[in-house]
Amino acid sequence: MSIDDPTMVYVLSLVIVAFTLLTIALVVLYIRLLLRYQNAKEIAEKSTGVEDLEETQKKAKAMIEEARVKAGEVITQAELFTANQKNVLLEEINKATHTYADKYQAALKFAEDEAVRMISSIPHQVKSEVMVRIEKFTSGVDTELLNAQKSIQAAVKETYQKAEVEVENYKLERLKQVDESIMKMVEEVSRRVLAKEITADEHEKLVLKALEKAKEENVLVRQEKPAEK
Amino acid sequence: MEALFEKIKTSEEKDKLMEEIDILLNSLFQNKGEAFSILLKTGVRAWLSEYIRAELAKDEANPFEYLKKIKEELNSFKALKLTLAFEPTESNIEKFSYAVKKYLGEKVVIEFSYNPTLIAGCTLTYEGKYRDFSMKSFFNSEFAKIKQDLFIQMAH
Repeated sequence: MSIDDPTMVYVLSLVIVAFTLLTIALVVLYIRLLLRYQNAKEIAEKSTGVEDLEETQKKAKAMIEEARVKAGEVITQAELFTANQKNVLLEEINKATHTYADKYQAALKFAEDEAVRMISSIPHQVKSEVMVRIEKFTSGVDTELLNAQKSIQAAVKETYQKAEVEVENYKLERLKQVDESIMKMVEEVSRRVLAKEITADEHEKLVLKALEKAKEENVLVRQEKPAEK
Repeated sequence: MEALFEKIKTSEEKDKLMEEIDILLNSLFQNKGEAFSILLKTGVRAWLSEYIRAELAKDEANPFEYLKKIKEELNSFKALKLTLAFEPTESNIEKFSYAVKKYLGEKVVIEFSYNPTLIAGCTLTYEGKYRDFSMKSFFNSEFAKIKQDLFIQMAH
């Protein structure tokens, strides 16, 4: 098999293009990984970052594996290739894959070490800062709780006292109402009995007596006739 | 006219008399005065008719002037508002009117009203003055005293 064979040139071009794309993908992935490290630094309290790196690494490996498998599939599906050609190609692909994978591993290792170094310095600063803040927060919460407890106690006490006074007032009011109702009943009965007991003659006498009293009190005063001219 | 006014005891009676006088006054201008004679027989009460005839004959007075004078006199009557706890009989009205006229003169009529809650006695209003001489008023004040004493006793 000669390298001048157009088919071979064509296949090799395809392989190179595939590896170029793979390389671009890896670079992008690497940049994203670095960005993720930066984010991890900011949220270091929640995460150490190592898990993210491992996860990214796994994903990258999976992508490489996927790319490799897909490339194999493309080659396998090419009907123009003979079995021999396919083997040679696969061998070349495997070699290239391993080369790029090694390079990627080295880059990844470097990035991982760098990220771990960066992240490992964060917890000490954060820890001390967080501890101070937590202490402040705890003491603040304690004070607030104490104040809230006191104010609640005072409010409950006040409400209870108010309720007691209201109940007492209500009791007195109700008693007064009951007393007044009884009195009204007694009054009404007395009035009816009295009204029935008074005779017509007594009624008349009482009115005449009232007229006499009105005269005495100067309510009934005779108007003097004006002198005629 | 004194005799006529003696008969007027209540505001209703005064209103009735005014109405009759108006009928007679109007009749003087109907059918050249003939209506007056007719209405004197048919339009007013018998005793009033008799009284007016006698008065006009006695003094040969002008009917219009005479009737007008009666009306003027009636308009000058004052009213004593008397609220009773019972509905008065004719006899009651006679007696009350007699007492009122004795105290205030002839030209006063009583305006009766009925309020059984007064129990007994009466309330009266005359010339803007009001007095409560009812049993209710007395009863209320006495009962208030009793009630107050009772509450004081209950409090101790």
